Parts: sequence; structure tokens; C-alpha cells
Amino acid sequence: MNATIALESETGSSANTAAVLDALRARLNAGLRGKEGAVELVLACLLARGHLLIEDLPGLGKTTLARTLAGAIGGRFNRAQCTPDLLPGDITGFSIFNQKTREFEFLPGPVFADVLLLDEINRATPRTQSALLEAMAEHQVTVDNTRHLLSKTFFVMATQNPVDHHGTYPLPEAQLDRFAMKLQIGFPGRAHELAMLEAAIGQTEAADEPPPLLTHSQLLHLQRTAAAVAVTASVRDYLASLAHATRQHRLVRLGLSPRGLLTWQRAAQAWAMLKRRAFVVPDDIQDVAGPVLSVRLGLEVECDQFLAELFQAVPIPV
Amino acid sequence: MPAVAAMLVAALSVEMALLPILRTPSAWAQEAVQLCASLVVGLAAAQSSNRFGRYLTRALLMLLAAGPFIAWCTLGAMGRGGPPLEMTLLSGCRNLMITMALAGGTGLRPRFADASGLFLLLFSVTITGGRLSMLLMAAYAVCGCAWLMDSSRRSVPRGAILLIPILFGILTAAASLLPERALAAVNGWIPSSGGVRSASPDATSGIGDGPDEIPDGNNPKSTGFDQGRLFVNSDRASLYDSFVEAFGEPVKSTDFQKLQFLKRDEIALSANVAVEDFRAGKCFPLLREPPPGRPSDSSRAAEALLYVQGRTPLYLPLYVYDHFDGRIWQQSTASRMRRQIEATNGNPLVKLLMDRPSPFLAGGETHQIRMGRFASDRLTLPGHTTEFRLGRVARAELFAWAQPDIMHLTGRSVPTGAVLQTVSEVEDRAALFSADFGGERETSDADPRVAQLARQWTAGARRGWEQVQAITAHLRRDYVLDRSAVATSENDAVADFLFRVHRGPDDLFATSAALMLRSLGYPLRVVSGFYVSEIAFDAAAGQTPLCSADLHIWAELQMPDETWVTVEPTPGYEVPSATRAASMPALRAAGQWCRSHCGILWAHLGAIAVIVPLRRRLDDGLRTSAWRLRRWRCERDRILSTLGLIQRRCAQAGQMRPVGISCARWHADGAIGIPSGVTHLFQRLCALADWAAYAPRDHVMPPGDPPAEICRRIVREVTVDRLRKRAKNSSPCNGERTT
Repeated sequence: MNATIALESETGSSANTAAVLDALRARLNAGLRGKEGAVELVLACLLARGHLLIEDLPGLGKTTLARTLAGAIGGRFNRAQCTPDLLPGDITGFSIFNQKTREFEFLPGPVFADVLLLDEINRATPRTQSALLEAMAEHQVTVDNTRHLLSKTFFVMATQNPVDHHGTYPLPEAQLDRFAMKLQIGFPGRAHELAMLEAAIGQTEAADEPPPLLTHSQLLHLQRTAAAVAVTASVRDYLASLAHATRQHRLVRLGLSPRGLLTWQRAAQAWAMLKRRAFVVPDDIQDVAGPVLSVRLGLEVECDQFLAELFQAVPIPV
Repeated sequence: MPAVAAMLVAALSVEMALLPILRTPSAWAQEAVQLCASLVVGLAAAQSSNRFGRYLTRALLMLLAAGPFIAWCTLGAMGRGGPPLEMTLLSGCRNLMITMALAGGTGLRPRFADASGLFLLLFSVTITGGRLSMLLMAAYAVCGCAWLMDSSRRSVPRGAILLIPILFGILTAAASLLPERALAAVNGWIPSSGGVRSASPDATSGIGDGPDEIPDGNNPKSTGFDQGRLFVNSDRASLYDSFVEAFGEPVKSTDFQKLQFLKRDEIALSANVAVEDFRAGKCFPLLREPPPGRPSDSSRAAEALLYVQGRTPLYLPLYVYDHFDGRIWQQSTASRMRRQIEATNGNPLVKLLMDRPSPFLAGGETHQIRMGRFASDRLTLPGHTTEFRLGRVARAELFAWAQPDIMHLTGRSVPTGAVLQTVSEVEDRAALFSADFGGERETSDADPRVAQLARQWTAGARRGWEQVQAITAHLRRDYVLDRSAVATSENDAVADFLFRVHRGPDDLFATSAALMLRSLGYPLRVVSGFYVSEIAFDAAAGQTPLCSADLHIWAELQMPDETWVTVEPTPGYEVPSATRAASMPALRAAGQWCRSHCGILWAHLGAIAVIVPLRRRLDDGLRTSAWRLRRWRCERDRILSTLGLIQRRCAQAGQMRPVGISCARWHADGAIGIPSGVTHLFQRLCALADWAAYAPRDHVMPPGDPPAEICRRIVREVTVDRLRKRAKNSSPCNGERTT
């Protein structure tokens, strides 16, 4: 195997994975200006087959990012605005009695999409939130004892507002553990804001959506390639030691779960692939540690301090 | 800030310790001058930036450190008597601490100040005591904890541990050059020394310390003669009573009328020896009634004759007998070997001077012996006592030699509660083998059977201590100590003991050993006194009470230099040896070893002096040579080994890679001062190292220059000197880097 990864499309013609990823990256960066780091993590999350929780203020481009991603990977994009009166059926879909056929018919909900944006997920009731557990973990929903499979590349982007907590239902640990990463997008820089203002002049309606960059099967293939990125024994050992260290750290109440550990490895693999490497190095693990750990260890402001202490506690293999 | 507070506390504690010697205005002035000088030099050292200033402050620093000692020596030479040596040491160390703390900076100075602050506090608190010193200690502990918790504090380098062997080497060398002075100085470092060998007026009276008069008679520290105690002599046990209790009543012989052929000069002696004259150990007859029952151990502490504090086992000789007529040991009347008594009126310390130091004695041990019910004018001094003090008795004419090596109080018995404080030497049992007793000498007046047994037992042993040991070993092994099995045969108790019953009291053991060794031509005598056993030690009181059961009789052998050493033929009794003494003999032996191996020592010190400054270069040179000579199994090995070598060099240049950061990131962060010409090469090396360390075996190497060439260039270009230079150039603008 070569250090550079060749992507075999389903038609047999070989395309350069790096080029595909570069194009994807460029599309997302064009949609969300000045947030290369966040875009990179979104891509890593997508390649690692995880779901993404974005915690940020309104109007920072969360929906834009989701829409651009959905457009770029050529999938179906759905959006659900979570409110306290949203019912599980509103998300998963429900069966209705068809008068013509005299049969119950299943009406799929927004969950039947390639990219699902759940806006303000912490405003949905716990009942609705838990309806998402099965969909996110197993890529399926069960309605009226019937199992309905979701898209193989099903990708959830959920958002929540960190400021306004009135009338919200904070996500429980079990739900949080289903997300691969938590991101903060943050405000763009001044230069990017100026560029954004300039580009908005004269625009009256949304521009035509550019054609998708990937087919569904290509994305699947990319995800399989990411999962095949090599993780040698010493790196696995390092990862396990870090996980063990989280369970003994004074700032952490519950340490990293085995599911979280698997997610961390997948994210590091995807990150190595984005760095055009066919093997994971400890730096990859450290780079994705923040988003992966912050979502499941309940760390807010002290995350940076925690990470510094964590990395200092476990020596790097070489 | 906490460090400064800790140092202030330490300086305060030193001042407290120095308070007793600051009695005169001149002492105060001297102290003030020293403090001011420390402050000035410290501030000057902090300000000095150019080279001249640095040299000047260093010179001033040395002068400041040496100042108190120079003053001490000068005052000593002028005969005015400066402060005690330990006080001088204290103030010198304090001056250095203040200066170093003020000089600031990083590296050795603040660490020295911290360490000396801790030492000074502990030392001065030890020698002062009291509530205030406890407060100071608590304050220091608080400051120290705050200092330890200070996160900006830099960690102590591992190299600092090297200082310990180096300091030890320097101390050993100093001990080899100036053994007496250096050892005296070491002695002075031990608190409560009180200045044993110092002529200083501040030194206390010599042995131990503490108040002289403690009313509590049961306190082993009580020095007796306290005015509240009535000395009633009625119930006190005399030595005669004690001996009767221990060994039984002497049998009055009815066999008066025997024909004796005496030389003319012996007639008078024989006439003087009345058989009934058993007063207080004037003579010791072997024939005795069986002794009454021994006192129980529970009554020992309450009814004790003496209380002994100090190392046991211990022999306290009381009477010396050197003439034996077959049944009775007569007291020694020899007048030679009387050592000179040196005592000054007004000073209770009495010194027993020796003509020359004996090679068979070593060390110095201190004991405190308090009189209990025992009534005698004899001083229960340990054998080979060199100095003693009896309460506050400061008049020399009260002490006199009663017998060779036995002192007594003239005119009265030692009162109950009086405490004898003694310094004595210990026999060096290992040195006894080297004694030369000359050729074989047979004495004609010995019993032929005893003489023959002695020859039989010593067959094969060399003349000297080996023969003595052979005799005592036989007696100790083959004969049984039995206090009740007193001699029954009126004629020859010794022969009866040796050839028939094989058991008997310790006087028979001692007599047999003495007679057998005398038959071989060794000068022997028999000594009675107390044996302080380890078993009788009362752990609760910290002392050993002695009763009449502890009375013991042993033999003594005169060595060629006229020193009498203990010969112990009785099983169950052990002679203390100098090898078990405390650290001073060990230090002395170390000093002697150093003197005898001076050449090797200096060669080693020289090698250390060369190697220590060059150790980094040597280490790097060896590692680089090994790297060059090594045959690489694969490219991965070469790459990882090169990276390891470079990291080692970085560490030597003071740039240690933190554990949680990869080499590539460390380099990318700019924390490492790789020379600018090879930055791209180092980046490539880091990428290659990632591949070598973490890529599976079947992954091919990332394309680019061959690693062999990159590794060679990096090893050539990235040297310790360049790394250090880069670090030095970049440090002022980078400031303190946090990891």
C-alpha cells in the first residue's frame, strides 16, 4: 500500500482522494468563511461516521454549514427545528391510514435524510431526544414495530445555544455519547466579515446550489478508507493510556467510555486521512481530543487545562 | 515571596540561637556589621552586570563567608576567646544565605539560599529549643509549603544529585588533610557537644548538658548533691554486704597452722595478711558459703545500688587483686601505673592523663552513673576513663588513686544520688592480636597440672592474644557458670574446678584463667566490680539499674604498653569492643584510609574535577561515536536513533522535550533552537520519524531525500554548542516558556 490513498470509485476510474477531499474542503470553506479549523473537524466527523453537536450562538453559520455539507456530498438534507411540543413521531415519521388502499402507510420523518440538522436540540423534550438515540447509534428507526433503515451515510448535525437556558432540556450523558464531537464555530475574523459583506452586495436571493462533489457511494468509500487507516500498537497503547488517564482525572466525574474510545480512534483515523497520511500518529489523537472529549466528559471552561494535564500525564511513545 | 519569608524566618532563628553570645556591645556591633555587609554584597551582586562587577561580588562573597572564621581565629590567637565554633559556622552560613537570596537570579544561588535556610533553621532550633523556636519552625513550615505549591517554581535538575558525592569527596579529602581539626569541626556540628575540646568561656563544663542540679533523685540526669536530700547512711549496702550477697559468706579457715617457707621480704606481707581481714574487698577468698537467693528482677530498679546510663555492656572495676596464695586474692599494693590527675579548682571536670595514647584503646564513650544504695568511697568509673565529673565537686584534692586505675573520694563515701559523668575509651579488641608479648616465659611457681592444661589448651595458638583467647574460649565453652557451686575443697579450689566439677562461680573462672595465663608467662590480675549487662536495661527509665547480682569478677591482662585489658573467661559476659562504638571511630578510620590512599584519592578527585565539567561533551562524543559506528538494520532504526541523539543534545543544551508533546510539534512550536540552516531537514526528520515509529511495516517511506544523508547532516550541524547558543540568543525575548 502506498502512503497516498487512492480512491476507487464505483465506476472503476481512480480519482485522487486528496483532490476529492480538497474540493470538499474548498466548498465548505466557501460556504463558511474563515473557519478552516471547524471545517476540518466537520470533515473528520463525517469521515469518522460520527454525528456532530455544534454549540454556538445563533447566526454564526451553523445551518449554512450543514446545508453546504449536504449539498457537497450530494445527499438529501432535512432540518427539524426542535421545540418543546415536537413529538418523536415528528422526527422519525409515523403511519397513517390510507383511505384508498385501506392500509396503514408509513410517512417518513426528517430523520430519513443523508444530512439532518436538528436546530436547538436542547429545546426538544427528553422523549423526543431519546427517539434520536436509535437513529444515531444504529442508523435505523422502529415505528409501529417496523424497522426502517436510514441512509448508510446518515449524519446528524445538532445545534444548541449555550447562553439561553430557559425552557431547555440539557442532553443526558447517554445522548451526548452518541455524538462524535462537539464544536464551537465562533465569530469570523474582521477580514472575513469584510469579504462576506462585500460578497453580499447585490445578492437578492439564494444562489443556485452547485452540483454535488460526491456520490453517495463515493462518500461511503471515503468513510471505509478512513476506517482502514493504520493505527499501530504503540499508538493504540497511547490512546488507551489517555482514556485510562481521563478516568482518574480530578476534573472528570465519568471517564471516557469504551464507545467514546472507539469514536476517538475513528476520529483520529479520519484526521490522519485529512492530513494525507495512511497511519495515525499521536498528534492526530491530540488534535481531535478536544472536540471528542468535550462532548462526553462534561467539560466546559476547563477543557484546555484538562487537555494540557492529560497530555502531560501520558508520555508520547517516541 | 514565600521563599523570602522562609529565609527571613531562618535568619530570625539564627539570631535567636546567637543571642546567648551577644552579651557585649562589641559582639552586637560585629553582628550588625556582618548583617550590613551581607545586605550590601547581596544587593551589589544583584546589580552587577559587567564581568568586573561579577568578579568583585564573588570576591566579596568569599570574604563574607570567611569573615566570621577569620575573626574567630584572630580572637583565638589573641587569647581573647571568640564565640564557639558552631556559632561562627552559623553566622557565616547565615551571611551567605542572605547574600545569595538577595543576589537573586536563577540556578544555584536561590537553591543554595533555600537549602541553607532549611539547614540554619533546623540547626538553630535544635540548639535553642523553647516555645519561640517552635513558632519559628511552624512559620517556616507554612512558608515552605507555600513555596512548594508555587507553580512557577522550576524543578530541581537531576544533576544536583551529583553534588552529594562530590561534596562527600571534598569532605573526605579535607578529613585526610586536616584530620584532627576536621574531625573536631565535625564534632562541633553535633548539637549539645558543648565544646568538649574548646577553651572557650562559652563552652559548658564538658560532658552532656542541661541543668546541673535536678531535685528529682530518680532522674538519671540529676547530678546529685542537691541540697534538699538527706544522706542517711544506715540502710546503704556496703561492698562487703554486696559481695556476700552475690558470692556468699567467706569461710573462715581453721587451718592456721601450716608450715610456710617465706623469703625475708615476704614475711612482713604474710604477717600483715590476716585471714579475717575481709573488710570491703581488701581481699577476696575463694572459699565461701553458698550465696543467699538472688534478688528478684522486679526489685532491681527500686533497690538498685547504681544506675547507669550509656552504652552497655560495661565493666566498672572497684578492686584490683594481683596476689593469690591458693585460696585468697590479695589487694594490689602496686603503686606504679598511676596516671596523673589534672584538675583545676573551680572546674568539676577531672582529667586522667595518659603518658601516650594506647594502640589498644579507641573511641570515646560517655556514661552517667548515679549512686543508689551503694556505699563506698570508690568511684565506679568505667575502665580506661579519661575524664570524669562528680556532681559539682570542683576540688582536685578530694580525688586520689585508691589502687591502680581505681579512684576514690578521700575521706568520705560517695553520697546517694551523686552522678558520675564519665568519658572513657573502649578496648579495640581487634587490635589486641597485634600485641607482641615476647618469647615464651614459664613461671616456676605455677601448679604443674594447671600449667600443663594451659599448654594443652593453647597448643597451636600463636603467642599473644591468640593464646589468651584459646584459654578463655575453652573456659567459656566447656565450663558452666553456677554461683551456688562454690569451692568446697579447702586445699585447691582451682584444681577442683578445672579437673573435677567443671562448674562454679565467676571468681573461679577468673582465677583459673589468671593462673593458667600466668603459668604461660602473661601478666594477669583479677578485678572485681560491677558488670552492666545489656539485659538489665530498663527501657522505660532509659538506664540500667545495678544490684548485688551484677557484681562480677574478671581477669585483666597487661599489654606490652602497660595497658590492662579485660579478659573475660566467664560464659554469659561480653566485653564491649570499640568496633561497636559510634561514628567518630568510623570517621577517624575513614580519615586514616584517606591518608594512606592519598595518591589514589587525589587521582580520583582530579579525574572527577576533569570529568564533571566535561561530562556533557564526553557523553555526547560517546553517543555520537556509537551512532557513527552502528550498523543499521533498517532505515527506521537509523531515523529513530538520530532523533534520539538530537533530543539528547537538546536536553544537554537545556531544552528538554516535555513528555506529552511530539517532536514535530515541539519543533513547530519553536521551543527548540534548531540552527536555521537545517530547519527544513529537521522537519523532514520529524516526518520520517513519524513514519518510522507509527507506520505499519508494509508502508513505504514517504518520498524525498534519502534518510541517510539527512541524518548525517543533522548530526553534523545540530551540535550541543549551537543549540545552546540559539537558546541563549532567543531566551531574553522568549522569556520563561511554560509547557
